[in-house]
Amino acid sequence: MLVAFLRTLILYVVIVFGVRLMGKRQLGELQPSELVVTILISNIATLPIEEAETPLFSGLLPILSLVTFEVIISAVNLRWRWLRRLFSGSPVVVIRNGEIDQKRLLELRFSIDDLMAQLRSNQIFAVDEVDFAVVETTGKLSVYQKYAARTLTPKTMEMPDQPDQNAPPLVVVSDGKVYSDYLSLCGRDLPWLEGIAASRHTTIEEIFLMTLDRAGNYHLVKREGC
Amino acid sequence: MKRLVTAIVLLAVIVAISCFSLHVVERDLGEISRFALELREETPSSELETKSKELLRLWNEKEQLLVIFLRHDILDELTARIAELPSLARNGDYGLFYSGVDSILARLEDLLDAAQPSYRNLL
Repeated sequence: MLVAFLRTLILYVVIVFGVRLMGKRQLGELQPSELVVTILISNIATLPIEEAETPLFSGLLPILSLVTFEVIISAVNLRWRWLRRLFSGSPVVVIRNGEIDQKRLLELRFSIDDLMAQLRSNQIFAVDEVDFAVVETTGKLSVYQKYAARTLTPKTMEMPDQPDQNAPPLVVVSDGKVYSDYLSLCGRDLPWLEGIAASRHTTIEEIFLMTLDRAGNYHLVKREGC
Repeated sequence: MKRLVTAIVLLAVIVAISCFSLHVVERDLGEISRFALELREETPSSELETKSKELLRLWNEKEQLLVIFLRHDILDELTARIAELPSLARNGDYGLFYSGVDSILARLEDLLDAAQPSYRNLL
């Protein structure tokens, strides 16, 4: 049992290293080659764990080989577009100027149910709201709505820009620990933070979570039991 | 760029390890095979027990490294077969002795074939 545990630990470390090496692309939406690599790695990893007779290298070498192939291929793909098309395909427009391209849907083996499901996942429940829809190489549907159906924005309402609102709130305190860099980014300092904590009858160490934006708006959550 | 360089270096290391494993398997299995072949060609005598013990000692020594690259159950099977030889030689069971050596030689050849890339194990 100890052998199985240690093998699992080694494989876990190697696979995490491999996924980190492949980068954030792997954790987001998967291209076909990335999906293949992910499935293969998960299958190969189980073999040395389940069978103690199998040398660990029989699992490690294929896994690391797949990881390196994927990184090299994705780097080479950046250079040549035709290679990118070969490995990942091209996006396909399935709705153009509000009209569904039925021929393209048939070529993609994309049913009406698939199309409607993907539209709903984009918070669109009426096909006539869609101007353009593109099936990406990952299989995800990207939608560009008609003008009348788009969400109102301050720009469309010709409201003045508010620079302070252009940056998202940042976590400045997490589990009692202060992130000084983020605090500085929001134009505040430690004495200010201590003042805020005091005004809320707490200390920094008792703060579970605090977010802050550039306008000075903050949200504070105390640790439970404090 | 850093990831690409890491991947290329890692790939080079993998290829080097693969080539090294093939070299180790060919060298060690080849040495064991040659010794086993010499044993096969020996006539029945008291020397057989001594030489089969030497084969066992040599196998145990080589197995320390082979275990990293080859399946353990196959190596264990060979260990068991080689370990039988001294007893067979001591008790004069020469028929079983020589068939045991033949069996070991065939298994070693199988292992070597499986390790060397060829159309048989790639397809």
